[in-house]
Amino acid sequence: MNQWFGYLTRASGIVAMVLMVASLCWGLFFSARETGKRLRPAWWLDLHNWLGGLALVFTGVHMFAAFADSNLALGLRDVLLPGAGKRQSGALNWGVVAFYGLAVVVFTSWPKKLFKRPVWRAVHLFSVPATVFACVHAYRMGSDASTFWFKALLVLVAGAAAYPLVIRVAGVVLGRLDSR
Amino acid sequence: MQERLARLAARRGAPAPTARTNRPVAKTVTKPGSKQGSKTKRRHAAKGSRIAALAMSVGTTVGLSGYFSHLDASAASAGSSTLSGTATAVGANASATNSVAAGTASTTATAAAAKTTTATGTALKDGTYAGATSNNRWGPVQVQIMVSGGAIADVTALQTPSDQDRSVQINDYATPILRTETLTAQSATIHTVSGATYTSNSYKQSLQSAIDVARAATAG
Repeated sequence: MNQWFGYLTRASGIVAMVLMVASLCWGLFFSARETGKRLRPAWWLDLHNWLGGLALVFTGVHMFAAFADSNLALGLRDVLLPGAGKRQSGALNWGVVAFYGLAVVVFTSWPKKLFKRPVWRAVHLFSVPATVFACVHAYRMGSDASTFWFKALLVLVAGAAAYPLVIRVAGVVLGRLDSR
Repeated sequence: MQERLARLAARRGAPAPTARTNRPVAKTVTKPGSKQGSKTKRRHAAKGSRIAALAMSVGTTVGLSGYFSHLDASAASAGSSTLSGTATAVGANASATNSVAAGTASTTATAAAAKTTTATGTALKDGTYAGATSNNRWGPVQVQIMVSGGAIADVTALQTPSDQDRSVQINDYATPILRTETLTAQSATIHTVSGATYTSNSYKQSLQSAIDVARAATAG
């Protein structure tokens, strides 16, 4: 049974990372108005919200399985408090920080009307570093990080996220130049 | 387009949308016997895609877990590591041989020696024994045991894979677990550490060869 917690930790971590990147991509395409003509913007926004929520759920599963796996010997402080646990691993801390970043973004998105637009937007931008932290955590801590398929997956998701990010940033920069 | 939307809205009894909305649509559902419009049901624009994403995520998690399990099982059954070199008695002390039967061990050592007797059949001769080097795809693993009071008192990993940071990380957490399991089991029949299958298998092989040398020293 304990072995299965180890397998679940690895599998849910990979899925959570891919979901985070997918949610980020959907959000960037939506905010950059690059949603195409075939699918409605509402579809992109709805799926973006859903993927973000799913990423948080799978991150929760990942953390629970890591805590339950006695082989990893992680305490609650290791899992929940970056730098406070007995396993002073930088790779672990990246993951914990990424979890909090994702949680803040998701939980401020549901009661979106409670926040002023600039505040919400600033908080929502945490999703970009949170995703980067999650990928760093996966690369430095993942049991499969040294395998070819994992490296290929990491390159793929990094490329997939970089494309809409460049479009979004370019859109903001060009928009500001135009307004001048 | 606007006419079609207006016609559709009129058929539903709701005002026509003036522009394409970016928000998920709230659909009014009237329950029989309730006031009209008192209950709204959120209609998700990407309902099908949501279900597909959920199914794919769960399916991938389950599939990957099964794949990892299969990898571990096949690595364990195929004997993914090979032994090289020879196991040696580093510092066997013939005069310090001790056993439960002699009744001279302390309480802690007695318990440990009793386990040795259970696991290996005989108490081992005191001394230090280095196992053969077991090579796996990540690098060599070599284990040394220290026998005291007829039981395995300590296990040291002389060599572990260290070419990659990841290997060092894995060994940092796997080696203490394997050591504790060895001291508890007093044999090489220990559990594989998840995420460190190759190291665990090599550790067990090297450990077994060290125990074999200790047994040979005891018999000889």
